[in-house]
Amino acid sequence: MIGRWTATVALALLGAGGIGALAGSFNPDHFMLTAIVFAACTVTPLGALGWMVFLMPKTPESAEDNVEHHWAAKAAGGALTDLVVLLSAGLAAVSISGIALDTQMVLLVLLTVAMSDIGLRYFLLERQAR
Amino acid sequence: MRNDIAGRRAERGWSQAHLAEELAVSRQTIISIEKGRFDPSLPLAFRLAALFETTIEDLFDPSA
Repeated sequence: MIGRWTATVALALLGAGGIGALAGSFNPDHFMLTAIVFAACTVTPLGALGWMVFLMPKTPESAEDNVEHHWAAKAAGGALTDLVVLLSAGLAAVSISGIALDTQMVLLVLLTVAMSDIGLRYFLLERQAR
Repeated sequence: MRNDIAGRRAERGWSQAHLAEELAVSRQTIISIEKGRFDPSLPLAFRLAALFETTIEDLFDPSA
């Protein structure tokens, strides 16, 4: 167990340090500031990833028999359809208007919409089942 | 799909939590199956039938 915790912490620290250094290398004028900000922002998600990989209890074989698995799959499928519609409408709007959008902002909006959509759909499915 | 799992469970004096534990699924799964709002997978239907010592056809009514 100590080895698994060590691997989790090592993944978080080394991964965050690596991402920070990589981000800093793209911004040499403010290398340290960029590296610290990116490392600080990624150390927690990487710690969570390490927990999932090294410490999380194994999923039981019957996990797919649970209704929650069914809800999650249904919510993800519905969100994918919503995203395709949103992307199609957005692409048409951008093509017609010729507006140039910031890529980082577009990706952030899409990620937020996708995650919110899945969460909302899962919540509604759970409510319907009660 | 309509079924009489709730009745059979009650006959044996089992709680939903106990049945869920026997089948290695969540209690919400049992609730949803009993209400007919979730059709179990074939392996789970077989496990249910085996647990209640009956057949899938007796446990579930596909016409409902």
